[in-house]
Amino acid sequence: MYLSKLTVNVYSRDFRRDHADLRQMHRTVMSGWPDLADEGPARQSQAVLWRLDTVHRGFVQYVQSNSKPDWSRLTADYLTEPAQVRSLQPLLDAITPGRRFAFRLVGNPTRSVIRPATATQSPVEGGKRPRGKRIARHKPEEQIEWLIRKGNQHGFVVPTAHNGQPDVSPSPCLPQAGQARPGDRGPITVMPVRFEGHLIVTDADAFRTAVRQGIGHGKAYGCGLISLAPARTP
Amino acid sequence: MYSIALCLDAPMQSWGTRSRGSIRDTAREPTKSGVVGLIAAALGVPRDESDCLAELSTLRMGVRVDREGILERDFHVTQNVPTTAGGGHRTALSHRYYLADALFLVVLTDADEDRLDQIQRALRAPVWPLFLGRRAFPPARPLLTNGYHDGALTGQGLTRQPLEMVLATHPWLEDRPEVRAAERRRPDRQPLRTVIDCDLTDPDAELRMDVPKSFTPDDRRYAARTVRSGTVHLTDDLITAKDLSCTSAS
Repeated sequence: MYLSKLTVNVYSRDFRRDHADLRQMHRTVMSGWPDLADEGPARQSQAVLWRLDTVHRGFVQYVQSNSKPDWSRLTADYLTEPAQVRSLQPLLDAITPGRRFAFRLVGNPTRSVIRPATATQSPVEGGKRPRGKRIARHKPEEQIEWLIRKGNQHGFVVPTAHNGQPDVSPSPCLPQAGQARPGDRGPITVMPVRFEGHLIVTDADAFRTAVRQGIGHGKAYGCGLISLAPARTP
Repeated sequence: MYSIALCLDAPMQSWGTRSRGSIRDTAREPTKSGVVGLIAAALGVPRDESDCLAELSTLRMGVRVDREGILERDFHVTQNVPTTAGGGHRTALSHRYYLADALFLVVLTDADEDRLDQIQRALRAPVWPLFLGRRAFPPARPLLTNGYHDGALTGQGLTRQPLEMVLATHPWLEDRPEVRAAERRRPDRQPLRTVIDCDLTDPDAELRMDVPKSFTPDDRRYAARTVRSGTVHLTDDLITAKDLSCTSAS
């Protein structure tokens, strides 16, 4: 696994376009793997995840992937510093049961709502449930609940802070959108939430997979990348 | 057909389309109600003259995004807001979205030259201060050339061309020399995004609820219009036109 740190130039015309349109951002990120085969889902094959973080003035984009990306295809004025790429292997090795980490995650907490009209219909043959409409969760307590549920699936728990609440703070991000293009099913809208806090690994293998693959929906659009750091000793 | 081309540039702009409560959103490009309000302020039309606003809303509008803005949010606190019950005061919290550093070419078109000329003169000598979406967001450069700075990168005002033509031929408004230079060297340029008023029957029409019916503070009403998104090519001519920075010195 590799992690790239891209310090973007906010005056770049291409970055402005990407920042305004998730679909374009996805394309720009995927341009780091020019040699991918055409068939199959390209993002999944490389487990590409990205996240845009605001820094003092401007943005830093982190991109995680299975193989080493080639950022030479970005236009000359896209970055203000050369791209930094490092291996994530030491981090993956450090994941052991009971280990406590500080983490940062931009997630897409949603729930799926099945419309009453579809719910009353008899299930499709094959026993499939009807597909619901995905709705963003807006309340902080619902967002924390989403994260804790994801923790059950992916082998981590959120410890309790001094005030008795889960040791994580969800903060809303700006709603992101992608323009619909001919042939698309519609515009993309994502309401991401930035989680910052601590977690304790319970199932190392499941958690390692979650770090590699990302968690939640919207992984092509800047959600799901977990960053880990040593926890501050309490 | 006559058109008037305006340059909307400001460190911050906000073009809300649907917000009423404590979350004040912004669209990615200027709205019709915002531009109509801007012109009304220049002409000195009060909020409650709905007929005059309706007349201004009939102008066909097209927007070219010369620089995408970066969406930002302010956490805004207003203290000592009187409560509706009348007893005491409260603190109102709101999230206010705005576009940082955005740059737009807005073209209004009509068959009546005198009407556009009147708007143009009003924008040069506005009755009330002009602002881009919010009172705190004044324009960073003139909306129109005023004749004194002939080479200035700003809106060219009244022309005899139809709207699509102006959007395709008006010089690029980007004023950062390094961005212009970088773009001039590039063989594969990204086109400029446009949003143009279109007919309801157009297959690509999108609905926007931003045609002002009434700006009266306690009775704000909006009607729908349909727009079509498109692109225009950023040609060499658009980049070099009016760019006297490299020629005037020699």
